[in-house]
Amino acid sequence: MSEISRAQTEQSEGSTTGRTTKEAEASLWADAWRSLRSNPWFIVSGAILVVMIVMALFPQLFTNTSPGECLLGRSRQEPSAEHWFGTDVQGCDYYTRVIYGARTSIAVGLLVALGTVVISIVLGTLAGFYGKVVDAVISRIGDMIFAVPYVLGAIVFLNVIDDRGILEVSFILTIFMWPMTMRLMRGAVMSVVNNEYVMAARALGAGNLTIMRRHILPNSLAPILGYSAILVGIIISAEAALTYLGVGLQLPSISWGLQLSNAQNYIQTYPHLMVFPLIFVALTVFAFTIMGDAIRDAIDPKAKK
Amino acid sequence: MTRYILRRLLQFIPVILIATFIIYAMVFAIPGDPIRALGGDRPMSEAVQQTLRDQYNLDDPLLIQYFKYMAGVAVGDFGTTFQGRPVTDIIVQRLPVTLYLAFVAVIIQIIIGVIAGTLAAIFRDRFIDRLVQVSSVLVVAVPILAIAFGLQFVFGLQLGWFPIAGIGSGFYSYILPGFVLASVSTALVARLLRNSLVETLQSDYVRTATAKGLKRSRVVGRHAMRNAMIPVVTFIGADLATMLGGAILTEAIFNLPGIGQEVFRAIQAQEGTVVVGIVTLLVLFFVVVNLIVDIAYAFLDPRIRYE
Repeated sequence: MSEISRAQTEQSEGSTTGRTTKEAEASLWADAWRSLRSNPWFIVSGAILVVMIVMALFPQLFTNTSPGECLLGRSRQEPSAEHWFGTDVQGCDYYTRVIYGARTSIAVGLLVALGTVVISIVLGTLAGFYGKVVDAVISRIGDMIFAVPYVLGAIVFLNVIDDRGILEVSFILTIFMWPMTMRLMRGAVMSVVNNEYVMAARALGAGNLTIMRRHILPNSLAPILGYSAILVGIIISAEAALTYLGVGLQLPSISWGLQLSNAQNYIQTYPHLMVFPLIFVALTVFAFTIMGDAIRDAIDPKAKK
Repeated sequence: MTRYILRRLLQFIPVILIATFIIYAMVFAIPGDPIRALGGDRPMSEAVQQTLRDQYNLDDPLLIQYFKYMAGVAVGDFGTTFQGRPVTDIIVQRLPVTLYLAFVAVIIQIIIGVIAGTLAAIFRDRFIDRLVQVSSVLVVAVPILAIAFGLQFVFGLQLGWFPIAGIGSGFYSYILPGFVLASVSTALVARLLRNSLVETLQSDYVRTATAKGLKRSRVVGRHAMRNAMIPVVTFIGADLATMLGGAILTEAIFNLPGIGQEVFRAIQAQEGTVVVGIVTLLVLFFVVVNLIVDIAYAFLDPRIRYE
């Protein structure tokens, strides 16, 4: 949040016309931050996310064991003092495997969300600002991708890629995710593009690029930024589902989806193999979604209903 | 009304053509030679391969292939698999399972969603309202995979109330997958109905109805509900169409031999005709459901007239 607000403030600094915008801008973000701080959902989800992100960045802080340290002799042990989450089929310490799984899931979630948001901002702004042919081309391409259920589309494409790592899975998910957020951005741009300040800027001789950067973008980013955390949750959940189906990430990646898909064969005999990755993926998606709801309500009150 | 329906049916044609062409292109333009794959380890003779290619129009340009295929679909012929089995056969065999699953899911969605939403709106800001709101947030925020395995684990394994795989026990087999498929939508239906009913209950005609001395149940049931249900009906209709995505996952987890599982298998086996056949059918289903939803409006809200 603070980074965004800083970027916003810096953007409007140094321009004489932007002074009033800057103050309004600053108070908007300050308002958002104030309402977020007093929102218990935000505090809870924020705390979970901090733990998960630290886990993804520095898994060594949580465990001394390496995830590749597996002894077949201790395969499928129940949870114990030595192995908190038990051991998996290969005899790896399951706690370590689950901890290291955070990095993969969160990496896919953030990569796809970043790609989707950037593509959507660029294409949505172009479509909303120029309208006519530009809009028609961008929107129809979006509609076509939108018409295919994304699970189905993702399965078709992922199925023909033999070697699927984080980058491949992220790429395919991005292709099917961007139309949704592009529509959001396009709508936001269209609602500001005819405002008086845009006309005034144009009358003063500002070029299209300047208008988009200085007037359109700052006033139309809220919906998509508010949605982006929810998007991360959706993506992590989609990645886990696709990986579970067998068309997502593959070994040697360490991923919650892979752990779930292996565990399903042992659900009756060794339920701990299923329970632990499930709790982690549920908590992470939950935290991102709740956090996203809270942020969206704070910075984009119009979306609240 | 008839004119409206006819016009809508005409508008469907481009939607159906574009959506099915995308799937067709996706399935048949992907790398890999399905005919060669058919032979497995033992290579087939060139002549056999050529006959098969001719039979499935695989040497034609993509657009021609597609139109030849759609010409067949127009007269009810969805093509045959590379093994020679009619795709219609597979659909007839698999579709009932998915329809049954979708039916159970929609019933759950309507019963639980509508009851929860109505109670929350009537007892606004009281405990039950908070309960409905918090639980709907929770259900939407937890990944479907977690809901599925969670239910399977608790109600299937720990309590042993329901089977966790297959369709061996008839209706009981569909309850857990039905709940999984319905979960997110049920929460959304409850939330949507609560908000729209709260709004409706504040309107003038509801106040008039109350002032006339009607019983509370009649005011809510007859006067408020009819209007409050309109957005819910749209949502449920649109949701039916997205159930396929959910069905692939749900059918995989609960091992139900439905159309979702078949599509997934066909994609992996590169059986293009099966994939395209099933998806075409689903697109048709989607458009028809949407039309029915629009017509249902006119019955729910007499102010809406289609001309």
